[in-house]
Amino acid sequence: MTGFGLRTVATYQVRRADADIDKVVELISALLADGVQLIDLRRYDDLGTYFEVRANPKDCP
Amino acid sequence: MRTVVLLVKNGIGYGHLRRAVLLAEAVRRAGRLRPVIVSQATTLDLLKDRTVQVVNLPLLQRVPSDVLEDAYTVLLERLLTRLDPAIVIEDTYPDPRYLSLSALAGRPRLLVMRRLDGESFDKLRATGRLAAYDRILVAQRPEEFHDEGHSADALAAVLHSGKFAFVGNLSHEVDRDAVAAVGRRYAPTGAPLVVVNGGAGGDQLADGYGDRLFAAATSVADRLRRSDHSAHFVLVTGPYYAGRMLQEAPNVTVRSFEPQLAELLAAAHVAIIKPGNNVLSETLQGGAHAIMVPDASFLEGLDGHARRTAGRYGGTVAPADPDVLERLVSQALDELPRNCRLRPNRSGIAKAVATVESLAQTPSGRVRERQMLLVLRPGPRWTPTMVHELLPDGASGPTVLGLADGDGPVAVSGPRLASSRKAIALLLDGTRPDVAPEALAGQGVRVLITSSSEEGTQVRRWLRRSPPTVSQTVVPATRLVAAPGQFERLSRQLAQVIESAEPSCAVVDLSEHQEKDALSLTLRELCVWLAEQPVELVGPSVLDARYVQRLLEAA
Repeated sequence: MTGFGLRTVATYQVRRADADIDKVVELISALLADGVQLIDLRRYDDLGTYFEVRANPKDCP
Repeated sequence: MRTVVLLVKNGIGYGHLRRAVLLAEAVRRAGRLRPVIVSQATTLDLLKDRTVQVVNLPLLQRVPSDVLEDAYTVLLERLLTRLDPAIVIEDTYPDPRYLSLSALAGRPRLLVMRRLDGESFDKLRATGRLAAYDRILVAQRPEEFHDEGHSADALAAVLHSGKFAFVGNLSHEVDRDAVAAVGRRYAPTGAPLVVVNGGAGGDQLADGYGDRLFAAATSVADRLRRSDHSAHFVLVTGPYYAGRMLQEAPNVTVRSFEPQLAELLAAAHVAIIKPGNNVLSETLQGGAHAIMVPDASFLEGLDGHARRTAGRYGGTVAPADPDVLERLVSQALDELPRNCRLRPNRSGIAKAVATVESLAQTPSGRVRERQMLLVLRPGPRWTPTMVHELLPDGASGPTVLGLADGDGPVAVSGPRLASSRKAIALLLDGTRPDVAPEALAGQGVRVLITSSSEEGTQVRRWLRRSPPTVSQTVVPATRLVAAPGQFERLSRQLAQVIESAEPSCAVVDLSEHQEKDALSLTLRELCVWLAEQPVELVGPSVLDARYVQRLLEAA
């Protein structure tokens, strides 16, 4: 767990096939459908080779 | 339930994100659309404990590699496709990146625009950045917008293009029930509070504004403590503050972020603030004496805004100078709370939500018929009323020059306004108006109709020599003569006019008709012919709006 209760749920390797992006979108869509309030993608490495998908498990009212 | 996506960036300040959250929560409460904020925010402070869903990306222009930026952009594109928003909302600064996303093409777009200084607004306008939006909500009152010193073209675009609406300032409403508790949290003994804040703390020009502001405030606090003043200082630096480390003292509390800053400001006796839109609005809702310390800002022109605010609500404008601030804070602490307060703008929020919901219902696209202002000029033998009465029943659209029916304003007048004071369009007819453009505008004239390119040049020169406060529209018209028994010729000429420009304007002279029956026949033939053409006859207001919309396109 990180700030605001964010937890890492996936990482995305930038150099992988473009199709992987669809999996990330699927994941984000599923999280939104589950009522997850905050999904944060702003954490990446210094070289810009991957980013993390982090989510707040808090349900939306 | 359809989705509304709010696209917002938050680089060095909080304002855009704060307004997006405010609007998104209001849309969610209305219950007819599902808001999702897609942000590029560096800090998530403001997104904690919200009731709307947020997908946050980094600031895309700051990521360390092109491939990473590309990956985020593709993700953004596909996520937006998946969300399939009924409407997309942006805040203040149109982002070219969003314009190029195919997922957003063809979707209704709304821009919520907080105050900009005149020069900055014109820069966005003249580069065509505002043209892509279906509606633009200006988060100011009309008189506040006028006070910014906008150009004549900007005022014309905002007032007459039909794209803009004023909703008043949109800012967080202070929770009155929480003010006392927040005050006690920082001053349990009831000492007067001096709250210092520079927004989120981001430094527009990296020139150390935050450092100067908080260093000066710390110095003032130290001087008051030495003189045994009971005032307690709360320094809310904002998460982007990058100045010197601030030390707490018996009369100084330092916070990076205060989720109830609005309530804290309302509990304060004195607020020393950078007068950005949100913090200033929240301060003015309470009774604190505002000491505004303006500085360089991005497109906001804070110095002038601070002076105008002080004139309207009280307060003072000061530099980040401890000597000046000490004097002002000491004076303010001796005074009663400020009485002139900003009232929460609930109707503005409601109007914004209504606009969002209305745009979300935007029907399928349709191709508009070609629009034309057709002015019938009676000539000396016929009065405007006589011509109007000869038009077939139910005929609408042709505008009779000088007609003054009892119900509404006269649409188009001749070169002099004496007989028709409410005309919004003036057919110049080779004669320059005998009053200045501003005086003409004062009488409600928006459109100047010229009938030759030479006349158009002269009129534009006349307007340049004495420009009105709000730009007037100069419309070139084609003059045609309707001869009795020669309608086919007239119809071919009208068709040429309609096809030559969109929108178009034609002035048809009826003076060659001597007989009432012949005039009646010509008007009947005209109306029958028009009904069969792909043309919509419009009044001067619509024509004006179409021309003014060009002021929003890139030069």
